[in-house]
Amino acid sequence: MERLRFLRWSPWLRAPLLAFRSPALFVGVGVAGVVLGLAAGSRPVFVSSAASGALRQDLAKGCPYDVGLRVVRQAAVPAVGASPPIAPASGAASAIDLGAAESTLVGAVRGTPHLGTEVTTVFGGNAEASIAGNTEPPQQIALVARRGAAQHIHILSAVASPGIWLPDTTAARLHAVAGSLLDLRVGAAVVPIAVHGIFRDLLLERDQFWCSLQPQIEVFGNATTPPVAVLDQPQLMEVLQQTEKSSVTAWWEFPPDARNWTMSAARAVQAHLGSVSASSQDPNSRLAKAVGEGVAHLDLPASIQHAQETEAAVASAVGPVSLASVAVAVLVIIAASGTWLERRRVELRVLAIRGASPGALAAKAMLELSVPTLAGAAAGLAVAVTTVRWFGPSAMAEPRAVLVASVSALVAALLGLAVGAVVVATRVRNLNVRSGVLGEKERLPLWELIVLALAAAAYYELRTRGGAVVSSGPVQRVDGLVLLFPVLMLAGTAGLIARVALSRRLLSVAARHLPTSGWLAARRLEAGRWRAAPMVTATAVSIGIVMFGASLAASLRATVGAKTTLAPGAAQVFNLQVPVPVPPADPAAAHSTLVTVTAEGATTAGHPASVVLGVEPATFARAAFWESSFAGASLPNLLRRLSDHPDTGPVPVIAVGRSLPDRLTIALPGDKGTLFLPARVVGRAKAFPGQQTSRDLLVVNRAALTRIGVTEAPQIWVNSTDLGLTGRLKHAGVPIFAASRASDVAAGSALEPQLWALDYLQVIGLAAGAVTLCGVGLYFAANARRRRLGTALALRLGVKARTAHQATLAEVAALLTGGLVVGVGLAWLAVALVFSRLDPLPNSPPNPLFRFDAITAVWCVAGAAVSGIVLTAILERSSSARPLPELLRDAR
Amino acid sequence: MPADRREASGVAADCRDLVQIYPSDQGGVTVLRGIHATFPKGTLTSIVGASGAGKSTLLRLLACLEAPSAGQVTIAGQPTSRLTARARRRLVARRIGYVFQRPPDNLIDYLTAAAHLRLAWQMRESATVLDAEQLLASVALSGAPKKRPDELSDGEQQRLAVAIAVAGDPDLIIADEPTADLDPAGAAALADSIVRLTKAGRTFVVSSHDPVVTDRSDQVLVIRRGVLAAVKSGRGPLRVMVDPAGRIQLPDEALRQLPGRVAEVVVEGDVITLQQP
Repeated sequence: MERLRFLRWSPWLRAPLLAFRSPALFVGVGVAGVVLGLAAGSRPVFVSSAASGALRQDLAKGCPYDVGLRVVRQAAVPAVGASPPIAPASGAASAIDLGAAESTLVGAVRGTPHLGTEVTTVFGGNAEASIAGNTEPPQQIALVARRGAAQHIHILSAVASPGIWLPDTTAARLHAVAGSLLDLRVGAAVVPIAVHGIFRDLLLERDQFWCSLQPQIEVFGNATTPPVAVLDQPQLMEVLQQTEKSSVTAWWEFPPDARNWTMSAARAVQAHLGSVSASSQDPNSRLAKAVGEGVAHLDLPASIQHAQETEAAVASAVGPVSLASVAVAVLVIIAASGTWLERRRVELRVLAIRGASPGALAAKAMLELSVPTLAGAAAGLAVAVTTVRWFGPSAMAEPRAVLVASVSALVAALLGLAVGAVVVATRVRNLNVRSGVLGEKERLPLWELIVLALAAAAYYELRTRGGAVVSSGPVQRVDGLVLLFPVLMLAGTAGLIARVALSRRLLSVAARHLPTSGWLAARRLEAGRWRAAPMVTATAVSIGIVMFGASLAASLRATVGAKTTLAPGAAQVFNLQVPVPVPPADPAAAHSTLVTVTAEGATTAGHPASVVLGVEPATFARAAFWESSFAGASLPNLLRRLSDHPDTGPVPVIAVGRSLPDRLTIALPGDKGTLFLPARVVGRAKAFPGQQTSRDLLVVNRAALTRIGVTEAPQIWVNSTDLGLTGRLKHAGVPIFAASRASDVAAGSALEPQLWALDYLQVIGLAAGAVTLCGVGLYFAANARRRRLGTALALRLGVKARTAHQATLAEVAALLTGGLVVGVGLAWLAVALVFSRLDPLPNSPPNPLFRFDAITAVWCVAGAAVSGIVLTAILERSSSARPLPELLRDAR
Repeated sequence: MPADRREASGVAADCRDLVQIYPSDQGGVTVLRGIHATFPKGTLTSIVGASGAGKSTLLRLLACLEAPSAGQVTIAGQPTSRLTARARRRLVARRIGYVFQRPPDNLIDYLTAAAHLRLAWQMRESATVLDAEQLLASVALSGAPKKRPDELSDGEQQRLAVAIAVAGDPDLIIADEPTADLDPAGAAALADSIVRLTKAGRTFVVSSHDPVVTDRSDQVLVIRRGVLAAVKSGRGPLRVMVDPAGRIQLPDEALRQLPGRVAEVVVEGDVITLQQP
């Protein structure tokens, strides 16, 4: 403790408060602390948020009633007059009291947190509905009782008296209205029932309440599905009691309420519901005895597993960026330590000559910088948590993650202070006590080459590893090098450019050709070039990181959008039994086309099998997905070449593939055997809608295929995401047997980990930009006295005040503009080098697309411009109106 | 004089055969060429000489801020040339006070005068009791204990610097041109303070051209081109050093008597006389 006696001395006791006496230093160090806190603290919070977000998205994509617990039982319908339960007849379902079973199950899951409202559904089977005396043929309906249904149907009309809710499609066919009396035939029995109301057929309109009943509502293919008619449970039982129906299927569904879920909440729900599910299927358990035999489903574990994999994928991607950001912030602390040394030079000399050791002086530096650093780190942590809450994948992060983030931010802050103390101790050893000079090294080592070497190594690794997207199960993770490489490349290249651009020789040459204001600015930059170069580098790196993140995300979205839409060919694709177009009255008709696909077996002599796509040139372009990079010519131009199809001679085709010759013969399946179609290639494309894999594709006029009698596999392609289209087409009698949506394929590509990692990179870039701005402010603050004196001397020597103002503006503009131009340019280069490695669907065409986010670039320019104007105004204000003698005395 | 006898006899510090050579691109620059001097306790010694003579180098060696290339500096009987950096720092902290030429360079802007004295006393780990009022009174700053440096004039700041250097009773106080930045009144007041403190038993070594300091010094050392050319003790005669080759450096007033730079040397017994030819 003897060695630490200096801590009792006044300068050390007062050190924590001394930072407030130097606002510029306080702010500079504080902002570095903010970046430390943000970089170190954001990672655990962001990763936790990503897990919560992945969980929420996974559950939102699916049906909550499918994901949560569903207990399915067969229940006997009690006979009229018998009090349930009754002993079942041999072979009949177990007799269970539905009400008792429900209350037992509800009791079993009580206490499960984050659970939605339980729904009980009883399926009463199909019935024939007719109106007595009506000549209209009876209509099949499915009898369903589902608690809460009345709040989830689109009611068209209703009466007060109880009865059945009838779908409008059925009501129209029966000419029934609310209040009509229906005859329901179930088997041999006919049960009269009033129509309580008419509602929109669930096939045409329904909300997520009905999602678990989708298989019952919407069936493709030859099977027909009776529309669902809704009753309440007592009514349904009353009807069935009058029939011979002996059993019903009952579902008890316990959906999750995932709005505020974190992973720990999800696991808690999983544990509770899993236990109930297992118990309900254990014949020895009290629960199983109460609810009878049957099955239970719980899909929550799969969602949790997916979220965990997403969490790991995001963590691996953002980890290197977080570390790099902490390193950058530590560098800023080091720079701030240098500024502190300059400002405290007199005091340091006084204390050193009185015997204070370098260690004691370093401790003073730590104490003095501790308040802004720790305050900044706390603020950075708060910014991290708030930013993730507002802009992150989810507003929910684990409390434990926030605790880990807090500890990380504190450790990072202490690390920064320790590094700063080492810098102080090292430089104080070189203190020339007589002159007070700190022995500052004027030349910065050539660190840029080291960083560029690391960048080259990272890029080599990226190139040799194959793709930068690694699939581990359903979740794809981004190789962290994709994010680290551009940061290294930006830092190294920008540093070199700044070093060269701010070299003495170049500035001297430039100054000779500039007007007075430019000459002054160039001279100032030259005098402080060792401080200015890091400012330009930092500006370039921060802008570059933001631009890189935004542009790579845009490229990724465009690539996935193209790939997932190229394969189906359009936003929605319906496979038909016979070629029937979208009814002209439907709004989607204007964006639809008919297509024929011959999937397998189409061959050309001597060449691998190709897929043949028959299109209607007049309507294809309005429905199909197209990207200008697919071909040299536009799509309408290509389609025009198909329109000319002679009755004899080769038909024109568009070839998609490298191996196809200009003249070929296509072998196609016909009703009576193989058909041969001579063809000539009139256009080529690198990719084409409907191209399923990288197999060759031949695009031909559909009429030519029809003319020769090719067996068709027709499809409707629609450039619309209207989810109700399926129902409308079925209702219109279009024979759909399968449907697919590009959005479903895109959702399955699990882009979130990659996009979120890129979003994180942008946040770090913005924080780096804030630090850079403060660094630029510190740069000017450190030179403030010299600048004021220089300006006053220049004015005294005859330089006009306006010229002096312009010189200041030119100096600020040179720093910020140089950084902006270099940053944007290098970001473009980095994206161009990396984007092709980020292919989440490598087996699907087209190749990855390149996008540069111009909007973000505009924001960067605007931000730099505003910052420059504000900084110039502050500098001008601080340098004005002090007499020269006073300035000379201060400068002594 | 042996170290123990130096301590017993009241020698605050001395230097023997001090040589200091600094490296340069052309080889080495010899700044001091064998300085031999004694600084008794309770005395004021002025070091004079032209710019570049080696005065500041000698002060830094005496203050143990540097180690000599050869020779020995002894502070209160303790040789210093072989001390480790840590031991040197402790020696400087406890036994030596230093006053820089520019008054603001001696002070910490946020500490009051009293706080400065207390800090110096703490850093010196002195066994004596600090009497800040008495110390300030000895430098004519009785009314300034709560004043910060920016509330003091240059002369007051420099007097405070002297008081700080003296706080905790170091063996030696070194001042490098302390009056150079002061007006005549300030310089006179500072010199008065130094003399007062000297009479109270402090030992000062001051580099100065200012007669207000040199005239009141107990001894004046004249340095020329790194060599101790002459010593004047109080009102006694100027003693000129004879180097091993028999050469001496005459003071300026003597050189003025020899316009042709030729002198006649007359040796009569043990009396040697230099006269104009």
